[in-house]
Amino acid sequence: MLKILTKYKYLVLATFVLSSIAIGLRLYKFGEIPTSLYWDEMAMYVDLKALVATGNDMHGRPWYQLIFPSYGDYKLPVYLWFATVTAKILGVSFFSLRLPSAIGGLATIVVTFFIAQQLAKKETTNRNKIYLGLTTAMTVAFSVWSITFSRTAFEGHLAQMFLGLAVLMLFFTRKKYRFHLLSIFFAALATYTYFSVRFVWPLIYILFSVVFATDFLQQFSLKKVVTYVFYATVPLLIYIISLIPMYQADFYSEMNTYRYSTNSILNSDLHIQQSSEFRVIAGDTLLDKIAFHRYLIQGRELLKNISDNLDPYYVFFSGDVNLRHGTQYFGLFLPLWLIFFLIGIYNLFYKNWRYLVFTLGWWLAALLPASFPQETPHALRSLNGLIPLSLLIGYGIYQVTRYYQLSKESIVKYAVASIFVLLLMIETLFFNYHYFAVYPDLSKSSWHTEYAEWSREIMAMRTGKGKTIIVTPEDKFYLWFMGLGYYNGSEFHTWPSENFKFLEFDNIIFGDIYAIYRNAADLDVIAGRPRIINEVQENMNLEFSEVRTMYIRDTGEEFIIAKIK
Amino acid sequence: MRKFISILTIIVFIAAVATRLYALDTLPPSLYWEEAALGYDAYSIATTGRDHHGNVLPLVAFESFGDWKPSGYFYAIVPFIWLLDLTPLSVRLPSAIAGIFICLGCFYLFRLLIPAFITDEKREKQITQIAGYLMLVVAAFSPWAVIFSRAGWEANVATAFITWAVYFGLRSLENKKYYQKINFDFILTTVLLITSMYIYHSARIVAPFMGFILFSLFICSVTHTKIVKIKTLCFSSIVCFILAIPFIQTIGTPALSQRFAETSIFSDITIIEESNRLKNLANNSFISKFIYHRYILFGREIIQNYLSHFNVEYLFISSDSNPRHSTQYTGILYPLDALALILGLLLAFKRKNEQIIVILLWLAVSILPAALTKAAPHALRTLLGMPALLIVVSLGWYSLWQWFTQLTKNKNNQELLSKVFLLAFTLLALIQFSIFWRFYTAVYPKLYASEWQYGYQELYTSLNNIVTKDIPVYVSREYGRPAMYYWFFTKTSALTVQAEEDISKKDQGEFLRFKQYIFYRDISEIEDREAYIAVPVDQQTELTQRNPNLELIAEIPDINNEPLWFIYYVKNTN
Repeated sequence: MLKILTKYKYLVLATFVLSSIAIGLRLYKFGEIPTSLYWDEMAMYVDLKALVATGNDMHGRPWYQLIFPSYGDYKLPVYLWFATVTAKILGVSFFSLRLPSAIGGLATIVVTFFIAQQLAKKETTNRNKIYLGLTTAMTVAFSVWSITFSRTAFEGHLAQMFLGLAVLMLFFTRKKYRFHLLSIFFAALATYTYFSVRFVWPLIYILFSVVFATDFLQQFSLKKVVTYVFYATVPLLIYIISLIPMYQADFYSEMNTYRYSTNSILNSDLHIQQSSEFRVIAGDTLLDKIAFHRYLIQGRELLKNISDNLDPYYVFFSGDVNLRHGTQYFGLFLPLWLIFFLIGIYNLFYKNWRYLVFTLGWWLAALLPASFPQETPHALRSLNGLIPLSLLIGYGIYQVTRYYQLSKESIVKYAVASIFVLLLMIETLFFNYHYFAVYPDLSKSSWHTEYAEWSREIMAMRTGKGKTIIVTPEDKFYLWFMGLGYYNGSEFHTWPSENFKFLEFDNIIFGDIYAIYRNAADLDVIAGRPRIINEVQENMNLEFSEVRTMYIRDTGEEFIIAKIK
Repeated sequence: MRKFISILTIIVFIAAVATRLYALDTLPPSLYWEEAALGYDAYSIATTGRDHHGNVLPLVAFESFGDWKPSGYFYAIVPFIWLLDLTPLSVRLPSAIAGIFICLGCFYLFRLLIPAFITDEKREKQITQIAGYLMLVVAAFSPWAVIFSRAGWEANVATAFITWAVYFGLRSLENKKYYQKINFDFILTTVLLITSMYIYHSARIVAPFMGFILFSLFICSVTHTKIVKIKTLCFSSIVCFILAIPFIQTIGTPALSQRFAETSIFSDITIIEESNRLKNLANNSFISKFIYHRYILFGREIIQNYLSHFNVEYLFISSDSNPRHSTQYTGILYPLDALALILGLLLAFKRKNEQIIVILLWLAVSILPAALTKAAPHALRTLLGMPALLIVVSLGWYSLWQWFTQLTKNKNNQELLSKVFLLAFTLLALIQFSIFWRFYTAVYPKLYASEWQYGYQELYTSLNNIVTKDIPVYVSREYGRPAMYYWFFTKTSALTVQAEEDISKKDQGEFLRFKQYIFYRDISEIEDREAYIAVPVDQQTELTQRNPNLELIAEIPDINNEPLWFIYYVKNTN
């Protein structure tokens, strides 16, 4: 052991430093930054409370169900299962809710390390394979994309790690066929974690089977090809069979309806309108019917959305404009990584085309679920592209380090390297400063920090002697009361709900202005927009003993909480 | 085989000429106001030797609408005005001819570059011929090249000059017999580059850079003797100095700086506001003053603008969002060119010979003017780099041809595969071109006629017949620059316009009144008296509500036969 450590001392040191930085970037102020929970996370948090307390979700349904109704958005179960385990160990908190994602982020670094080695050519030495693995792992470790999503409880982030594991197992099938079982297991796990993986995995699998076919087929003959196709099809069929429980689970069709209700190219008729318009203007000849065919126009729309996700400025400089999915000041990767990305592609083209085709194909497959909806680019929906992009960048870094190893020593060479390392350090420092010092305040509203403050304030002002009526600014506001209130989760399933929404419990009513009028005789606290509070005060001659005015930071909108005298 | 390629090359060249000249005056459907201004000032120069403001033969820039347009294109129109009179055709012909020269320039330039990529030296002539053909097809059918050759775009002429400058610049590095005393090719490069700076703003960044690169290569070249180099450089320096004198004289004046001041990102106040906002969020800490410094944010903006030109949507799907710069239905390249572009870049980086590096640098620097200004990606401001991009794409097609023909080692089969490839390539190019051309000729004019200020010619022809009394004629400024169009389409004597220069009321160089014509912005500016009023469809209701004594005399339809202008006669109410 000591011998190996001495032999690879620099690699060991690099691994140690890399791991420390990766853990530090993901776990420093974990649970505090981002400043609060987004409503998807808050809904999971409420379910988590119930699961830990009762073994059932907030609606009293068993933990082993495959689709959690949540607040009506129908979540897949795997993330919640993992969060339940961490919450059982560490207690229910933001920390334990988000921990599976952080672990997934760290595991992604390890998975990428091994995939990169698998993609290296057979003749590559072990030492170089480790170098390649390390440079690729470093790319993930320093990736803004991975860091930011490791700190939030988004199922997509955990799913991309499982998907990576499934791909890694696929590579192992080149030595032993039985690894297919593990590959299918992880692919299914990924699919039961995040909905869109079911579209991505088959594409990656087919791509793998084609690109690496020669690893399985030493000689080409019709019989061998047919056999190979058969053996390659079986795992895909088993994967499809593994999804049957999901298709048969309660709420499957509701889940599909909900997911497909997002504005997308598929449910828009813009391409039909445009096609008709162009054809009519042009005279509707045969050429027009082909040149302006609606599928052609729909294809263009899809390509436009894919193009948004491929935009180099988005990937390396700005990231997603949504502050929950990015910081708005950094891309998915640090800017300097763009150079290594280009070097990686260039070198792979001439040195390892299968690596290039597979990673590019994986990336494009990952972009598909993010490109059908109208809202593009989308860092969350395209998260399955984290590993392939890192593999491309990592290869670029590897090539540069190889160049440094092999070329003659010169001052210029070291000067360039020093400047590069310095720039990298500066970029990392800038990112850390931005993320830990500015981003919390910048993104406060995006994480509904105000909702948490309001709900805590309302709970504190209640006396328990009457009803609390909240004219809600958001129909999911009740989640913050369930999550942050003094309930342990065992009471949730006893409360009435409508379409999986809890609008009345523990003398708190979430409704419209008429709810205040209806309960005029029994009011304790009322809360709502100033216009509403002023109106009821005027019409009902209410006297307040305490009034608090709260604000939404981004918009400056007011929210008033008033305690009735 | 060579005969076969020669025939194909000639056919494609004829197609290139046809796509640039076919219905040039009506496609795009009418003159954009910049074209009208170019045309009328050229007319003014051709007839009086002064621009319409009365300036004698401006050398660096024409004041025009106060935007100081580079002078080259104005002078390029003058001969056509002498030949064809003041018509849309004469305004657009210099650009169309430049478009043809760009195709030829690319063709010859690519033939000059390709020997460095040929592995089979025995077949060098044939391969060069094939490569030239590939290049010609790419250039002839390029939507980017076709669109900008069909309107009076100064940038297109500047592009032709730079293309040929690069061609002669690279040729000057070769060892030719006729370079024994002095290298005329290099001198020609100098002339073409400096001239291009008189034609288009962006060339003032691109041309000096290219000049520097070619100059450096020439200095370092081993093919010429020191004497030839010294003589050539001396002569070039003299030519350069003489040609640059007018330029140097105008440094610091609006003629040079106005346009950049208007379009530069550094005039964008929102970036400074964003910098302040971020610094405030960080409580103005020491480190935040660096991270969120306005120059860092400006730098990010420049990078964003620069990288936007590599966006897939811009390159292959819909191009520039300005409908005058693109049909919005195709990118600056065709979708199938994506593969060729990647392969071309990879091959270019692999070979790294000095000539291809010049092309890559040309491409890289041509994006800078657009990166420093607003509204990126910008197909017009980056047009100077179009030949470089098309060359890289052609290199990609060439590498595909090479790979395809080498699938077999049998020479006869290679020839057959070569023919198959060329026919398939031509067919694919034609299919993509057909879709573009169909949209461009059948849909685009009707969809985007308003972007080209369609209707002025029809309006003034109609007004010319209607206006019989010497009473005010009100024409709305709703569609922009009506005075310029009036002069253009009525061929108003330039002397008359120059005489009004100091008398007439103006808005940023645009005349608001000319003789009996009053160009109004708002209906309220129309006086209550006997007059003719030309009102656009959007203002018609307001006008008829305000004034009941209107008599509709004529209705000018747009290209889709929808009402565009109404001409009213207001009776004398007194």
